[in-house]
Amino acid sequence: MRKQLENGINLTVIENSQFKTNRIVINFVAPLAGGESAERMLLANLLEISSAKYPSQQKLAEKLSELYGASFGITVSKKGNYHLISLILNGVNDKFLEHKTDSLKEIFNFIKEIIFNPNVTDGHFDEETFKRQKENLMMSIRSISDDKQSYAGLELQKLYFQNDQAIPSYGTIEAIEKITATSLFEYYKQMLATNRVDIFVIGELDEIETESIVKILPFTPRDFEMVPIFYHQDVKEVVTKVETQAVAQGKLNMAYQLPVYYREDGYYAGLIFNGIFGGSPLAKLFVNVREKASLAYYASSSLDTFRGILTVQTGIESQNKDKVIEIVQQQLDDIIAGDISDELLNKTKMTMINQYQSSLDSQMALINQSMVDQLTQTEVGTTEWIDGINAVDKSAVQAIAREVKLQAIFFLNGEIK
Amino acid sequence: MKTLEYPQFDEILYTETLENGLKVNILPRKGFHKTYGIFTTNYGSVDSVFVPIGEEEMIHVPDGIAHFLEHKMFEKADHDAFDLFGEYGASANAFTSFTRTSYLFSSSNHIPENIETLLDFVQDPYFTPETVEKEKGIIGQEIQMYDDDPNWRLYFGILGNLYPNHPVSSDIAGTIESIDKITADDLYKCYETFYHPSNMNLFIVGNVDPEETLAFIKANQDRKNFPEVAESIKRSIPETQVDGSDIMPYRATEMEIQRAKTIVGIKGLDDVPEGRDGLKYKETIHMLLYLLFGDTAPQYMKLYDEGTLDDSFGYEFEIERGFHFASISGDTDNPQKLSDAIIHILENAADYLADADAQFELAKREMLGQSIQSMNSLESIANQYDGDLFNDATVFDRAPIIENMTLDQVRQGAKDFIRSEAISVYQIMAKEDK
Repeated sequence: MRKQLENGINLTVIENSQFKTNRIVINFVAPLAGGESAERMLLANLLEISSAKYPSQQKLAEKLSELYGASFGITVSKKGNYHLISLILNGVNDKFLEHKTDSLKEIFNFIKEIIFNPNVTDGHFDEETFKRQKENLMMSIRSISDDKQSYAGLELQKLYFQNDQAIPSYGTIEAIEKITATSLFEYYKQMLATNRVDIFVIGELDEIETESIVKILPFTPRDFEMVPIFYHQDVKEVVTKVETQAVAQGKLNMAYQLPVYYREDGYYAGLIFNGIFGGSPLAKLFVNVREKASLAYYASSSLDTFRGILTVQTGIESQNKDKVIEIVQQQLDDIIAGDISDELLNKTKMTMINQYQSSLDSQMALINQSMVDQLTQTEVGTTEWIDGINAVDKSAVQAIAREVKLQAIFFLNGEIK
Repeated sequence: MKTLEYPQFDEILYTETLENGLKVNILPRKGFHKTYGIFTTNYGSVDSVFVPIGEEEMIHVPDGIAHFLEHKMFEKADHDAFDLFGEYGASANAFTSFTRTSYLFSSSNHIPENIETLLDFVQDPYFTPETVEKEKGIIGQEIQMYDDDPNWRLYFGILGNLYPNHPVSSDIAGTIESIDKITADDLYKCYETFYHPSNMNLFIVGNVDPEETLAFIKANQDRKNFPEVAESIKRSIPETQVDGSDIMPYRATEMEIQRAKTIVGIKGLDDVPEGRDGLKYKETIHMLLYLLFGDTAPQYMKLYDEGTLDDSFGYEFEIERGFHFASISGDTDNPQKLSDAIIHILENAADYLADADAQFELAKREMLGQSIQSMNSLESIANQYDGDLFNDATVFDRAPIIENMTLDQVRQGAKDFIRSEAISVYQIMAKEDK
């Protein structure tokens, strides 16, 4: 069931008896152009650990334990030109509990406290809590660079985009530093009044009853103007950056423009192309960089069809950088030249179909699919999707490969010790 | 075929030990599209000294060989196991831990074919000097990747303190030097000894019919010949001191990281009870650590609020064949203060547990709910099965243990497990910028 509860407030209920839990996701959707990623991340962290009724993390954790260890979190993410704050709660279905409770209702009452009744006095968030969360957030962002794979990935994004798209979903330290307990409360009010709100509930439940429970949440109507979800960027000169650190393994990451967009022309061929190029252990990158040349433990590609970008990531011996770049380029050239066996093409299709069918066993995947359907205002059934994959032929994959344009290379050079 | 019914969760587990000794568990899940299969040998990185099958003398093989063997199982004379799974679009993988090696697939169709592929590729070794040499480059990169991971270094740092003369403190993948010594011959010896069906189990969960599935697993195994084994495998794992006198109390290192890390380890010097009681012990110590360091613990909140620890803080408890330990760790500006605080809480556990009745009742709900949540995931159900370790316990056996747990039991667990002489600290300091 999908319906609009109010202007700008949407509810999707998915009845499914496969799972032992009910999962709830509430997305607050805003255009990325608002440039408020830092505020949104800090707000997510703050709301996640306290409210007026549950002012400390301990009180809040006790409430979640009372709800049979319901998993609860608030995260942020980007989807094309949108930024999302997602409140996620997963609670055990009453039928598996000895002491029957009206848990869905209790859970929505809890969510109401979290969203609508924050720990605020005199127009600002509780100073102590705010200060702690702000410091922790800045510290955890600094620590990301200790994970060299993530670090190389982020540096590559900076090189490729050179604009707001390069800013991670959690914002920047500089932007977080400027936020105050008062300014964040102002932002909170604005978010609550203007963001598009998409509510999802999935589990073994009754649609009508669920709808009446969801209405516990007093969202007000709002006019939310949709923006084009897909991000486009012109082809530029290739940029390269090399950074040296005292690490054992070098990281070589590459970004390409590939204007293949979600459910638009060439979409299925794009998925197959990525599968053949570097998306699985059957792929050319895995087979040639790792298995044949023995140069890496990981070598893979991924495709973001909301931003039209293809990335390659490898962990290698630093001295082999040029050799690896050459092998990666060779794989692209080979695909363009049509060096794709029927066997590889068919296996890649089978793999994609398998993954798609398997995703139907995940509550989160089902919710995400529904979310993307709504943001793109498209819908594709299982049969249509499988037909789309099966219809891709070799020439379609070659055509996609021809559109791949190298744009950026980031190399984290391992220092010779 | 034996059936175990769990009406509280609407589940029935089918289980049988085949003639060749292979233990098979099948859990049908109606409504699921996917099936997950995992084939596990009771053999891991700690098993590097043993008597090979059919021989008399102990041999010592290089560190990292169980993991090396796992990599090499995928490669055959004229194909790769990934290719066979790829025929049906299945995804496949494998992992090695201290005491087990597992091979797995998941797929939404051609389930019988995929199960056969899983059994066949793991039961058909192919090692040559050339393929062994080639793998050294790949695993060398894997080792270097972990060398750059500060959390991995922290974990093995504390294991080095707790188990200085025990293979659990060696990296599961070995070192560049140790894997360089591995030969095809070594791999065959390990394989023949530890991959005998009587040392293995198969767990299938998903959209399957148990009778049919068991029938073709049996047919598959009946087609193969395995030597008779008269007795269990002789492994030698060095004894460690029961009084903890071999534990190194403190070590530290430096890395180019943003913020220091500290980890406090507790080596289990007590005996883990046999069979199901072992699982009860495991759940008890989990509860103990949750009551001391979880987010409903006032002492945890105090440290959080004063900034001594943050969301990077966490704890783990491991029980494996022959050893058990806990670790509590976090990133901090003041590593000494954090490890002192952790040790203070451990050494005064009895006081913290004295009035924890209300907290304990809530914690039971929490753990029960979490265990039921984990049943949504086929992977989680199968991976939580620990074979012989807890007498074939599954996730469904956890609920009654949690429901019947008492706070006194947890207090006793604290007495048995937490001993001052079993505690050690390892720290990674942030190197100053050059």
